[in-house]
Amino acid sequence: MSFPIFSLRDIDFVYPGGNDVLKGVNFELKAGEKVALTGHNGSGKTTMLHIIMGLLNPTSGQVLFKDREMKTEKDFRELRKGVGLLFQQADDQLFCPTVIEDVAFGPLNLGKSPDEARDIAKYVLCLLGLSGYEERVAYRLSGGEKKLVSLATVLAMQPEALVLDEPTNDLDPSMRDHLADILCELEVAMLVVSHDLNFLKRVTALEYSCHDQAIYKEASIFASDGTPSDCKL
Amino acid sequence: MQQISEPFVSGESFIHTSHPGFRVVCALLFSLVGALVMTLPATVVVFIAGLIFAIFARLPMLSLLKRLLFVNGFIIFLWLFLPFSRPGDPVFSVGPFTATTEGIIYAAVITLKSNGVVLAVTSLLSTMPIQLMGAGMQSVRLPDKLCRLFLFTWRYVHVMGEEFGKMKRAATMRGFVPRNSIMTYRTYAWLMGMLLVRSWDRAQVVWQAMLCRGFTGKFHTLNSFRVKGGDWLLLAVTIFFACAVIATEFFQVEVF
Repeated sequence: MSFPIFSLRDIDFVYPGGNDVLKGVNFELKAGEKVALTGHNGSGKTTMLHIIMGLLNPTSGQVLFKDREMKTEKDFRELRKGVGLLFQQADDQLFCPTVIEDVAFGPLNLGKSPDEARDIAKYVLCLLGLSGYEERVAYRLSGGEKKLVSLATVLAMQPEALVLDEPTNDLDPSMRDHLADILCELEVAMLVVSHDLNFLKRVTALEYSCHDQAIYKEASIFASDGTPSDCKL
Repeated sequence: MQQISEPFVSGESFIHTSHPGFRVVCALLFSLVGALVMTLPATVVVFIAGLIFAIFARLPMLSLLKRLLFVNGFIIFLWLFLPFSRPGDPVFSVGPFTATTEGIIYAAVITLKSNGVVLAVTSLLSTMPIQLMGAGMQSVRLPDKLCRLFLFTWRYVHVMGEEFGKMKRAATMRGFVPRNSIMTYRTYAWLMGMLLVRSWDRAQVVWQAMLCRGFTGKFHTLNSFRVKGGDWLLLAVTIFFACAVIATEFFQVEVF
């Protein structure tokens, strides 16, 4: 049962000012797949993620969510319920006064009642080992805590796929391991952009790389059966 | 990490536990009335009411005095000029300048009402964490945009401070020492300019983060406050104070 959750078809993207970033990009993420995306700085990885989420409009090409083409902002609202993006900077993602409000922000927007939203938020925080953080003030958390809370805010939307933009960027080794453990446990599909090969090896099973304005599937350094070697799905 | 200190938040007084929305309304009402009255007796009432609020809230004395000292640091300058600036009965003169009774009363009016309003606002608003105040503002239907602006400012003011600190440290690392020179002013102008650009960029990303989590323009809140009897009492007390102030102002009740 591996239908694509979202796919990109022949995506071109040119930044205003004329430099091509992506040309004829094709990509799809199937249910349950855990995919790594590597590539040099400025190779267009973040641009691609933003196109998937509908934050940038491609110059040409299609974004599909469950085989439906996404065109308008309204379409993408549907996609964002199913695909969660973890931003590079946790401070960008945590904008509510307290942790619980931040985590409940998504569920409330999806039309849950305050009580339901609070329950979901508590459940997700507990899942990530963050019980007791509910009333903490977002800006007073440490970098690692902020990262986990932002992951909680994304998971609270109960997405089918996660898109993570350099999740280990400013984490110390033990926090990195902790995050890898958590991601291995999760049963959602994932697209992880990172330069951290060890982390990718642990979390993902397939590798794609982004260079020369396109996405290529790599002869993988990872386990070949599509399952990360030390993860149970 | 810089933090906005909230020295009055912890406490268990009757004001600390009352409805945030009610407190916002009370503070608005009282400070509006306090700011508008102009006669000495009325401002004495404002000051006394402020004191009563402070006693109700059982504010920590030391922090309160610090805050009042800060406010009166500005007011002291008024005392240097205002007594000499109004025509009226002369009291004493310094060189060519003559202080008048009217001038002194005018300075006293401003002193009393600013202190009174600061006392009341400190008792009513500083006794709750800022996020609660934001939620309180929303609960009494203050404009959505205003509440959002307030909460976002609070959330990001320290991020901006951090960015500024980062850039300033980067400058210091390369031998920058602030002097009274064109170079210094230009450097600060660049820092401020960069801060503006970065804030703008960050605002864009935060907006994207909100979109990714299904934001459609309406800010939902988790908080629902229950109105208790004490909240109505607080409102009644505030209205009583406001009426007393207004009555003194208009009927010129002789206090002295």
